[in-house]
Amino acid sequence: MALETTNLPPLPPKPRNLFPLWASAIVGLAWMMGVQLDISPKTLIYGWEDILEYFSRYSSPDFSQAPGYVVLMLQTMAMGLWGTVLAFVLGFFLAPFAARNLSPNAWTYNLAREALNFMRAMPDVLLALVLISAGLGLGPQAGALALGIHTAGFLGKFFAESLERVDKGSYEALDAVGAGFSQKLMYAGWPSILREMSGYTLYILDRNIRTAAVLGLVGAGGIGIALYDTLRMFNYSQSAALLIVLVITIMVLDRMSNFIRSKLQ
Amino acid sequence: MSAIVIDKVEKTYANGTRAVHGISLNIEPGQFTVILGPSGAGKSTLLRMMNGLETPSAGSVTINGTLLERKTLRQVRRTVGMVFQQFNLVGRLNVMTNVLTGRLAYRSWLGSVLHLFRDKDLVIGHEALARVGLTDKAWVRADQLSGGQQQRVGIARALAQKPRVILADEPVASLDPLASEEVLDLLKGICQNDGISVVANLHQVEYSRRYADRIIGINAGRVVFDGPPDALTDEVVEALYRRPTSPEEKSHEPAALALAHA
Repeated sequence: MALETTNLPPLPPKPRNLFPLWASAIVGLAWMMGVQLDISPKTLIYGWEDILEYFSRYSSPDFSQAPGYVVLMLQTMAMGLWGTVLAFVLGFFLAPFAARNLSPNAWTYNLAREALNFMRAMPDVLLALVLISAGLGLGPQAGALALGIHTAGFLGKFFAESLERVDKGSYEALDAVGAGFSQKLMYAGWPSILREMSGYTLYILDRNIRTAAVLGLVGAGGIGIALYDTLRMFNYSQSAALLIVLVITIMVLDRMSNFIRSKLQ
Repeated sequence: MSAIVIDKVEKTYANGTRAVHGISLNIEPGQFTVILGPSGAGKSTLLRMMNGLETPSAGSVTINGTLLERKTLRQVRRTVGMVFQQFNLVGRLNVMTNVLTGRLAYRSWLGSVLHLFRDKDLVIGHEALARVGLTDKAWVRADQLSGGQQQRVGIARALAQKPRVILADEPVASLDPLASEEVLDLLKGICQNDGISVVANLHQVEYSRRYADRIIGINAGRVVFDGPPDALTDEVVEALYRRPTSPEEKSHEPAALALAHA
């Protein structure tokens, strides 16, 4: 075993290679998923035919009531927009306290983090149902509020993590001139993460408009409730038209948010 | 009255590293003081204790007669400028706003939150920028400037504080020789003409000899030299930069030799 390397100074102990372990864990999980969900090649092949037949029912969209659909879509978009505004405001004020390097003390840090965790953990559909029955009644207000609370949990966490990643030196320079908490945020924190912030907010807006369509199904108004009604009555042509309006809106929104994000670079 | 009085200051970090072992120093006003020593000697820790960026484990720091403690922190920091190795500007803000952050401690949070500054502060910022020769870059984003220019903005930010002391933590360690001399000339001029005391950490012996009024040599957390540049002989420098031989390094040698002969 006298290799050439015996003349060299010894290497430090070799770090363990965990890659094979991770790879086999992923393959194992995929296999377990197949077993648990009872997915077999047979069901996949036969199921495919049924799926194709079902989708063929949507092949002739009926646009006779298109203006109405556009109004409903706008209502859904408004629900998503106001939900996002609420989420942004809540996240903006909570995030600095949930950032480890900025939070004044351990109490505010834990409190802010738990508040964000709680908001994130409450599903928006559930929140909408609760708010509807709690007195807000059927309509987009409950939907917007539900979206706002749920996604404030996300935005707050994203903002807090971005604030934690800002170069330590920028905060230190502000500390060194004697700046206070809010001054550190306004002159080092927020300006440094402006781009990430707008990226996250646009993503949440996009997500909220999509989810607002779903919230319609539980009675929060907008295009979702129309979709629910037409589907319930097996009115596939109108459902198809509604779905096309929805899909086109989301595609346009996606393009727009990409465009805005590229302008922000 | 001394500008800075450091009294038996010690610093032990949470991981047990002892960076500073009981140092006492008086820094005189209007002087250019250089703290010289190898990396890891505790220079940075010592300097950062002078404006409370690090809290001493024992001992006290007094700046212009005010004891540095929690409740005087903001008041003391207001008149102590700091210049950093990595400049520590906010890249996305323009040069003027970076300079005006030096005024923040004079303003309430409500008065500054919208990035609106009083005309008086703008004049101070303008003067500070003129002093470092960067008035033409006032509205350029800070991250568009070269390293030397960024460091000059850092100095302008310190000047905007109307400080009595400027602390410079390795101000030229990230700069090329030409920019380094520009920055050190600037700091020296500020010290001589404006009567602002400058305390700078350096690791280059040449610069220390050229710019310092007083050199304090630090190694392994202790003062090993304190005197004018003339007294810093080559022997002293050699002693200052001598590595403490660690037992760890020694123990490796026989093993390496044994392997070589195997």
